Amino acid sequence: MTAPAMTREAALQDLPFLVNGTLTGAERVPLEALLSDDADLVAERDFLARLRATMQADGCGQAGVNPPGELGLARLMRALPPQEAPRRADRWRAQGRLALVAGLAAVASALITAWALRDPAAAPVYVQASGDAGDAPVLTVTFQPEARLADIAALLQDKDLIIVDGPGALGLYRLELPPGADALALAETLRAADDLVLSVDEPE
Amino acid sequence: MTTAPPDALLARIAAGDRDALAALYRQHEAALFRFVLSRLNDPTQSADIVHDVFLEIWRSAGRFEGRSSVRTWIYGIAYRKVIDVFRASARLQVTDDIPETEDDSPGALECLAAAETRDQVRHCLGTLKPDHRQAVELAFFQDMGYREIAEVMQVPEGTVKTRIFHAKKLLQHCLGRFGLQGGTA
Repeated sequence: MTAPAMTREAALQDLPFLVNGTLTGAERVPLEALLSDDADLVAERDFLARLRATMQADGCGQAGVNPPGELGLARLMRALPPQEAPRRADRWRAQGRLALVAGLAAVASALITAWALRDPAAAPVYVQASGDAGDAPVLTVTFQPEARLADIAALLQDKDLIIVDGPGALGLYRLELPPGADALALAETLRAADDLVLSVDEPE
Repeated sequence: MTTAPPDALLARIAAGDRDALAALYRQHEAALFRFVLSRLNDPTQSADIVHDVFLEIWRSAGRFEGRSSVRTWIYGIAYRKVIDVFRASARLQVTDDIPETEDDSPGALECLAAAETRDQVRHCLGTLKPDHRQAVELAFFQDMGYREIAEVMQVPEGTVKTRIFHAKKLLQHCLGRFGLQGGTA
């Protein structure tokens, strides 16, 4: 079966999508048939291919203009609500869980109270198993003034770190660590990257 | 660090996963910023639009129905926000006219002296009308197909092809002034 005929005008309009590889096989066949014996069309295709290669190599459309990068991500994280409400689909299940947790909390409270009354000398009465606030560990850092944003972004992405606050007036950034990360080891790693990182406080 | 597929990330975002939002942001932010900047030509405003796009993704990820790709959906949100900016400032331009005038923009002579082809291409892209430039950016920088571009820009597929065809002719004209070889069709 031969491919359906294609007008030259239609071929010219499809060439950009031949160049970026998004035409389907059925769209490509008649176009390539026309290209095989039309030198002008080949020149058009080659021009578009050079244009695409140049644009892709350029990276960003305006000289000296960088995308927001990690600072934009930090701004985004700050703009999110502190705790997202349960989605509609989960609402009933979440309410059931809430009732269960409330019940368990009431029982636990009664047990703790009874235990504390039985042995008033014992202390402390209650210790939170997960630590102070139950939050993920955070590192507070400052970056070298001459460090490039792209290099900082690469370092943070490599370690799965997210800026959750900053920069403050003193240039301090707070970095959230990935779950289960060794905060002390990560702090040491950041200190070792002293071409980018100026200071790292002890993990919070 | 592994790269999760956008669909999977969106499902996690719908469940309130901030790390998934951060991952999706890192996947798309730079290209999305370029896309918006190509239309607004204002880095600060473009950064604000990107910020708003990801906030909307956070809020509406649960409503994504999968009728288009995640990328098309994201760029569609960005495109609509850009249109809102244009409407608010009453500078909406939707046209496929080809100006017949020579390129006599103020930067032309400086650009003529530039050695790098990419500077010349960048300059010539800057002389295009926003709709033309954005269609070219989506086709050649984002490598989107014409169906996807039509969905993002909310125009018929034929309009996408026409815009890119006209943009190509203008680019050939502009680059020809720098002595860069173009097609002849």
